Amino acid sequence: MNTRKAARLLGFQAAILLLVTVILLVSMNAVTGMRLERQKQDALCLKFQDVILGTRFERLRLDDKAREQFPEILTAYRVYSDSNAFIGYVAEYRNETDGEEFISHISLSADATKLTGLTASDAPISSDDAPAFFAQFQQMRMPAALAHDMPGNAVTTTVYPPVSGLKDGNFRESLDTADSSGYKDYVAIVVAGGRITAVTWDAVAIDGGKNRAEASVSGEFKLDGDQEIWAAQAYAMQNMLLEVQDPAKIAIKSDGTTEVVPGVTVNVNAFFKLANLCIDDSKNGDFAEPESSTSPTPTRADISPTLTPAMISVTPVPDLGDEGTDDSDPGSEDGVILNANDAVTADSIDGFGYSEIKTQLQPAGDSLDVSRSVIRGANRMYLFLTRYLKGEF
Amino acid sequence: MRKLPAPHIHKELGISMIYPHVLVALLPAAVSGVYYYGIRALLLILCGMVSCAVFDFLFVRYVRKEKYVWEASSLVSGAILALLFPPTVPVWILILGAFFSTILVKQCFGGLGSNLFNPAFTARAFLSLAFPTLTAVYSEPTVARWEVLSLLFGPQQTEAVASPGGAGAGVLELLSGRFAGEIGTTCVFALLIGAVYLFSIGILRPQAPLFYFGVLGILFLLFPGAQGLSLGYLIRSLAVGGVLFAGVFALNDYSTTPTTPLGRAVFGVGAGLLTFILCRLTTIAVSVSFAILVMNAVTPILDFYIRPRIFGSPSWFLTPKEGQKRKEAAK
Repeated sequence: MNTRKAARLLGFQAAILLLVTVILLVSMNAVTGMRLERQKQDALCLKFQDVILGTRFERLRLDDKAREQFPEILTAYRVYSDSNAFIGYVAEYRNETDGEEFISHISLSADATKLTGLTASDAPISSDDAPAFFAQFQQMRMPAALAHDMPGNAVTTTVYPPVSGLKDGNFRESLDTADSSGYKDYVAIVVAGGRITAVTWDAVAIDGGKNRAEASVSGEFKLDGDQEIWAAQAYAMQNMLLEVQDPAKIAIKSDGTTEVVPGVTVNVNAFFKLANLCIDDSKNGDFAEPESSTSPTPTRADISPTLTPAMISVTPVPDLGDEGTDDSDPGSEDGVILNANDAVTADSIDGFGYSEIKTQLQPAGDSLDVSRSVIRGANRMYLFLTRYLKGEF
Repeated sequence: MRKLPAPHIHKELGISMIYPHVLVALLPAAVSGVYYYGIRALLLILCGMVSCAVFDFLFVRYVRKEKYVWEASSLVSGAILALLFPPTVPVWILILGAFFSTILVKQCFGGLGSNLFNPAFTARAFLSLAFPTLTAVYSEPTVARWEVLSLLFGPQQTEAVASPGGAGAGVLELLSGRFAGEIGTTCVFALLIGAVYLFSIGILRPQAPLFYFGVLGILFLLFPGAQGLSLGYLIRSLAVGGVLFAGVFALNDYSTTPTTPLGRAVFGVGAGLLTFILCRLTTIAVSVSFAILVMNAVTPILDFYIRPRIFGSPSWFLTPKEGQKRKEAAK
């Protein structure tokens, strides 16, 4: 047999083998595929039966953007009933509190406005408190928050008076020299109605690169050990100044650190110095020139994954109007507690403004952090579905 | 022996045809791998074949400084090597394996026909020991057919979940290979198609595989372990970890298995015993590789003592006197 003939025969044999293999593979997989799918659906029915009674689960394909923004959502499904009617969504969510992880199962209605069920069997909640706590999550309008965290119920909320003599406007001060990392700190404040209404603490890179906050978010500027990223700490300091209105009310230690702002471990001397200078500028009417920043300061949304509940302190700002600047106002003394019901919303819970919160819940016994974590999971799932249904993912 | 009138013609499958036929026999296993694991399985198989061929050529041409005569054995080694790995393995592992199998195992021993150990299985054993975490991450079939990042960066986080072995899989899944495993070793019927093809054209010598599967089957039946005895268990025992694949393609390697039928039968029994013993100590994939390597090392001894039977001779075995004569002749 010559080579060409042998090669032709070999090719023919290969084609026959290929054909037989493909036919067998496809037909056998059609049979096994149905069986495996049924097995999978049965397992999902069993897994989520405490939160939703479905018979068919269709997995939501999460794109990279969704995975990046909602990494804690492990899997999510559309759920169908016996009659193949779409009855809602269900997800597996990874909660974290105090370094402990647990998984919760969350189901929402078909229009994603109501939470229909939530369980977290391995959550660190005592067995006495768990039934009552999780019972609250049935047919619950979203979003939700702990009643304890709502401003009207936050009995310990203290509203501090502003520094007297502040003139409205934008004020900005920066250090003259860069630190050893090559950043020059600056603080910018906005005064409106005699109160500090916005604070920015950041640092400009002298080599023209990203600002320190942005660099810390992107991982280019790192702090030693397991400290919070710099942007998150700066955010907490900004929040604290907004709350107390006066840097002098935030105690600092001789080494330049503070213990009164949770999560803040960096040296805050520069912040205090520059904030005080800004306040002096405001008093003297020394307004800042409009200046374009070399890189944007990260927003809360950018750093939110790194913020701990303690760092996201509720910050109600009273609408004092002109009275706020009046020294004769009794609320201008330190430590006087104003009526928090008069406060307007200046912050939010899990990204939702107070006015958006539809349901207030009671915590599971004394487990405030765990309860917050469970509710945060529900809110995040609601936020994800809202955006998913808008076609963002 | 059949007595036929002259004239006679000598028809023999030479090297130039044996390996292309083996390649064709590997085709069903490769197709099942590509069907289940998609584009990266195809790329890994092609990469294995090309790497082995290139290393073969470079060594012969530039180290041995001889004219390179092309034959398909390096392509077969490369294809077998790729089919022995899970689809999550990065491509550089495969290239390293191709270098190891072609240069160190085959060419350093004198090239095709002179190698003591099966090149692909030796490389598989080496890489399993050297990179245990990269070579033992299994992916569920049919779920990531377009995944290619693992070729460069190794197993992706999302797929490091599947455990091999088809636990919980039904008989049909086991037969069709629809469970996490290596690219080309799980699909029983694809391997059987390849085996039947090789046997039909006279390349597959059945003694070693039959004794190998026989011994393993008996031992698995006698000692089923905690899983209990069932048809699924028996099929799983033979399908997972490359047992069936090794039986068809490694126990039939002309260079590294004995030349006599009896020798091959002994080889099969030894490989079966060793696989069974080792799989109680380590994974089945590693057990198969090492059982074959140990028996490869024994092959020269089997060939020495179990000689081809001379027509009219009463015994297959070498008597001590004949052995002494052979040794003197060799001197």
